[in-house]
Amino acid sequence: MSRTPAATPFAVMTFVTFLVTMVATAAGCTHVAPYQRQKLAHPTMTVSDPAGPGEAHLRAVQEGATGGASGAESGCGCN
Amino acid sequence: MSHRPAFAGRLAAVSLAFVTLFGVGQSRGDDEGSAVKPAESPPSHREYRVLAALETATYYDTDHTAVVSPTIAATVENPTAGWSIGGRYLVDVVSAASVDVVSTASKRWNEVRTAGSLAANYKPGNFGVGLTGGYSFEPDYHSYSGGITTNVDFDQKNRNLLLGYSHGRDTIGRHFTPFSIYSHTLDKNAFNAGLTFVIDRSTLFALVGDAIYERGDQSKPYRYIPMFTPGSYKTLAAGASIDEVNAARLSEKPLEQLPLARDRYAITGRIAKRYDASTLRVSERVYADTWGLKASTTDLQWLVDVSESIIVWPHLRLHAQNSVTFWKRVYEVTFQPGGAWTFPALRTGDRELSALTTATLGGGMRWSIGPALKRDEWVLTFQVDANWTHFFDALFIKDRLSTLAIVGIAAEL
Repeated sequence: MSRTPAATPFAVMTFVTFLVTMVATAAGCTHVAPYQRQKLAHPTMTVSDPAGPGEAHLRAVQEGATGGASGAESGCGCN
Repeated sequence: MSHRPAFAGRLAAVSLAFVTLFGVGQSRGDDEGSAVKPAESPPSHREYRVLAALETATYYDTDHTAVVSPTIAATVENPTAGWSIGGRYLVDVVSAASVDVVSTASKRWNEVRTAGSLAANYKPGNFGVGLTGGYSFEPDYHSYSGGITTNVDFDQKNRNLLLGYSHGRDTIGRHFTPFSIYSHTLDKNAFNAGLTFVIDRSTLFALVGDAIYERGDQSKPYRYIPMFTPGSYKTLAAGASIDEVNAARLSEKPLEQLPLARDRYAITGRIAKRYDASTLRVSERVYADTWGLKASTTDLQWLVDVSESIIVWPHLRLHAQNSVTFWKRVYEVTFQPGGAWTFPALRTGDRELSALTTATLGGGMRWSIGPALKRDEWVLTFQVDANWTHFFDALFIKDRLSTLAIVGIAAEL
């Protein structure tokens, strides 16, 4: 049935924002050697979704938005 | 249509499985500890390890909806070889007498959802691949999904790129009616890409993009939409009561009808910063879809080391969204020549598609209870969140308070 045309430019804008942020972030990084990653190895240092399966399902049902729960490798890459 | 006996059986099975898992691990530990000649025993170093977790989430809100969700999960992994296999099983028990149920003169209903998933990953070096599969069953709703992910490390693991795809198919039916007689399907194709950066010695940053394409009719087969004569929206304010709505509505209540396609896009940024004795985690998700819904979700946790074994944190979360383009607080019929009327082609009573904001305030604790030098082998987790949701333009309710409490235990066996 109907689709909102306004979402198409949003998708493009989203993709561009994603790329710009990715490049800018990569440019701002400093190289950290494995022996310098003590703080990064702490168990709280994760960038994965903190919500467990129950909470994630609840949020998905009670809010119109979804996404963002996957796609990030957590941890510091110490292994 | 109570399902409590069935749930009790499942819960017992889950508990038994968990106890068995832990029981096996405990007996192995006892055997090792009671070895008669420990000096002659070979050194104990398994190349794999077993992780098990049990979590129970309970939810209750002022709209008289309660949910209890126990989850059990287990993973076997070999970090040296780079493989892991894991599974998860979840049961949702929902009991609801919400205003949507009461307004249709229905009694409180109870329902059980079971969901399971398997995941396998193999990453022997800088390149890894993973497979996932899952299902979710309710009496009137079946869902299957499967997916694949690949990820690559760059620059001595200072950067990681993850790409993923998953497909899911939902079958939506009616309770006590075979799917072969009444059902419709919903297909979901989800693509995601994630980049993780080591920013400096104490900071991680991840950027995740999601594109989800849904095709099919996801209208609820139980959701009847009250209809009104033109001009009624002026007299029915947001939060109008059931009596006010019933006094103003027409006798006919058509079923909900949603668009048959929905494209969703989300970008999420997450940052974790480690200080001397605390960690700050912040995430922001922006979202938009082809139904016209746009949303922002901000989440903040500040995890403070209270001792070597206890970490506590406050949790703040703010979600705000507008409504979908076809949302109306009051759907009005259109009169045709001759006195007949027609309904709006798209109509919904799902107030989660309306403009709303949810503020969450809570906190949690992570308590490592393992033996000295192995404290993280056993970890208890507690979390309590209070949520306040304000609906700006919906019938029946304007505000909803809810609590979510989660208790979990994880162990390395």
